[in-house]
Amino acid sequence: MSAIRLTQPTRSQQQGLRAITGGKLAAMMGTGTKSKSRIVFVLTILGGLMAIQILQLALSVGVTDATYALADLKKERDQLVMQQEILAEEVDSLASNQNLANTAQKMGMVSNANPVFLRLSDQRVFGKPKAALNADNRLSRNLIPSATLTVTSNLVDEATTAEAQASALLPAGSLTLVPVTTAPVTTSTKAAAPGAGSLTLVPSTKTANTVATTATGSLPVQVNH
Amino acid sequence: MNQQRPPGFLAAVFASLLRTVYYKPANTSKRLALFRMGIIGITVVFAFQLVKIQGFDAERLNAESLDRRSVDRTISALRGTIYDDSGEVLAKSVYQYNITAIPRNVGVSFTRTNPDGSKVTVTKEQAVNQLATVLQMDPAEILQKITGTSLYALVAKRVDTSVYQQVVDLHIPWLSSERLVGRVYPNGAVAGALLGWVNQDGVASAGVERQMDECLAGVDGKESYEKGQDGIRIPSSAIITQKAQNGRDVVLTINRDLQYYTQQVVTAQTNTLKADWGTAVVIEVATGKILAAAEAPTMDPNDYGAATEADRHARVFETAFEPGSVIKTVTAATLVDQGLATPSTQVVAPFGMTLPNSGGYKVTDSHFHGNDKLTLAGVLRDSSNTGIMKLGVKAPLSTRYNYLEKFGLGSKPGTGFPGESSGLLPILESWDGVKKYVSMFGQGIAQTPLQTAMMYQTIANNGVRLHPRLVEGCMDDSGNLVELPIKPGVTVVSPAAARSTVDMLEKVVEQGGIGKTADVPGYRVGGKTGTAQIIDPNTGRYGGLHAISFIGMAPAENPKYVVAVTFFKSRTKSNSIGATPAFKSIMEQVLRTYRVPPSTTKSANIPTTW
Repeated sequence: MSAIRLTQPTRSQQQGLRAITGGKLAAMMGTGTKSKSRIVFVLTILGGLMAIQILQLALSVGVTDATYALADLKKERDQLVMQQEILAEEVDSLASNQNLANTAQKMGMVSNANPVFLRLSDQRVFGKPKAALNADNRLSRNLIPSATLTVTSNLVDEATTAEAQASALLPAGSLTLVPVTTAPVTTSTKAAAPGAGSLTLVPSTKTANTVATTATGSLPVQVNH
Repeated sequence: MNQQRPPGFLAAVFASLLRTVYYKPANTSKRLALFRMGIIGITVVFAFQLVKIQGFDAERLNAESLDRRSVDRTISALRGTIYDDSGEVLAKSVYQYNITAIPRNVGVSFTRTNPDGSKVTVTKEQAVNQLATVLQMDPAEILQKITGTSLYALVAKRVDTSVYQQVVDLHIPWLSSERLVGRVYPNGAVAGALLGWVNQDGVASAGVERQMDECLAGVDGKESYEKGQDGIRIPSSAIITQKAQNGRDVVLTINRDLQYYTQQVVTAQTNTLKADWGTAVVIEVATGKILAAAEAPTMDPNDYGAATEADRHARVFETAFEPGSVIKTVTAATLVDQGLATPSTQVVAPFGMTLPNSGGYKVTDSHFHGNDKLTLAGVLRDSSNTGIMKLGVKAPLSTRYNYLEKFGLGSKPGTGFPGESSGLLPILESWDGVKKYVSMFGQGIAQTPLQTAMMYQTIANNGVRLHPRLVEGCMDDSGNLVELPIKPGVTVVSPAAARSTVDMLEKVVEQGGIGKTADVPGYRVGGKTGTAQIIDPNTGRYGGLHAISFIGMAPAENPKYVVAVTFFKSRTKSNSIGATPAFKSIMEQVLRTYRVPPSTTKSANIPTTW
């Protein structure tokens, strides 16, 4: 044992060892390096996968978030579309023949069956001017039904207001019908295009209520499956 | 789906991976064997799973898949708008809502959060009452609908957006809704029967809606996706979208305001006369455009279910009846055009006449008179049956028959309106001794109010009969109007004959006992009365009630508009004195609407008697 301890392996012994173990030892050492790089490779792959997963998660969160934002915006759009539809319904109702005829009648208007024309070129008058009288064959009261006549011009209230304003502003006996300029909603038809200061028709209280209630309704719009 | 994987599956895969990486470099074949075993194992597991899923679990899985909340949605295309000639909306598409409930979820009460954040408890009864107020329904009816354990109950059908909004504002948790595309006619029954309607399945069922369906109808789109429990679409779920293609718009020749006025007049007069129904047609002479086609009673297409079957039809286009004396104008025009008579051709008109080869059939005038010495113009003025027959026989039957045909009888006017009638012109061979004569004053033939109006349009238009137009056209995708093809007119009588006929019609309004009541002050008006007997379908004989008409044109010096008014089975007036007030009223409105200056000339000087 001591002999072995005392003596360093000689060069030849070392050579002999190398001769015995030879390339195998070297091969063993080389194999160690390769397995290390393989682990690195696997880790890289796993890391990459994890990064992709995280990225995907982040993206998914982002997209989901956007989806909710989109849903909110769509809801808002639906609300606005609904608002627009309600207003369109009111405008249609106010602009309908039925409402105009009824309102005109309430205002005491009578259509004049005696048109008079003036030809500008020779200033000639055609027809005989006559006052419109509420003769029997002058039709004013509406006879044509409409299921869509949901909102009507609230003329009576407006006239009362106008009268009140007039009596406050003008001496007794003067003209009682004054232009209403602060009406919230005005009707517009091709026949009557109210300019500034002209008499405006105001929708009934029902309209005002409906317009005012812009509730953020939670009733979902269900679709047919 | 994860729970469907066998527990050993992942472990086996992992183990085989480990072995591949760390197995000692000793026995390659052993490693390969293990690999093979692994693959076989996996295959067996897959096969087992396949049989299990497809064979044993199929039913349960199908049921489960329903919970995956896949949604297939149809995107409803909006139907096109129908406009009048000046751009007023006559029909349009809107969203409507079915208000539905989930009876199973209806509790004793619920908590409502007010907009200001305060909370209030609402009982079922309170909620029902509030809902009933908004929907204008009986609370008991609503209560009955929401009672039970079902998951679906229809509370109200097709409410409009404003009502829907009010329902939403009630925040009732057990209520839901379905959005539908509906059709709205903003002017109600104005031109109702003309427009027709679209039924609740979206099928255009009558009128212009049906006629122009190809233009108006859109193509529905499709969308499918999966939604989460909160109803939000799952972002990664597949969406197949086919865009909805909205319908195109239609423009009519009708003038909404004139239509309304005409309908008002017809309705009022139908009521006054206690008639079965009344019609009025306004035609623009130079174009054949139908400016108004009114009738009473009629339907409100918004509520077509409430109208009777008869009122859903546009009688102006669909209902043919014996026209009566208004046809004398056609007989007179025939004689003048053939050179067989002039407006001043003389005739002695007795009160009554027994027709030859008729088995003693006697025709009389409406009022007793002696032997009147009339001209052709006088015959029209007095609407003498005997006078027109005595002059009419100058033209051979086949000639008169051909003229009736050329004036449009027996063929469809060509508006394309669904159910448009061609009237009734029996084949010539079937005309017996009576019909040969009575056809001269409008018996034994039948025509629609539109056909009658177009006969007068022919006279007013220098003898050229145009095809009436109801639909101007259809908008193309870029918003330009594509006009429907205009059929060429038919020359029926010469311009001179047409002019002579108008001159005679003026005498009716100037001098006729009834005709005078059709006069429009300031204008030259020509027209003709008609008091037609009506065959009782039960007895096959003429009944006691009449179809009374007045058809006229103005201004007579250059006729621009024809107005044709008819009241069927008038009960308070038995002759056309009941029709002239309506004619006058409508003609006045027409002349005003189209700014026709009053006449400055006098009518032709034609004798009516001798």
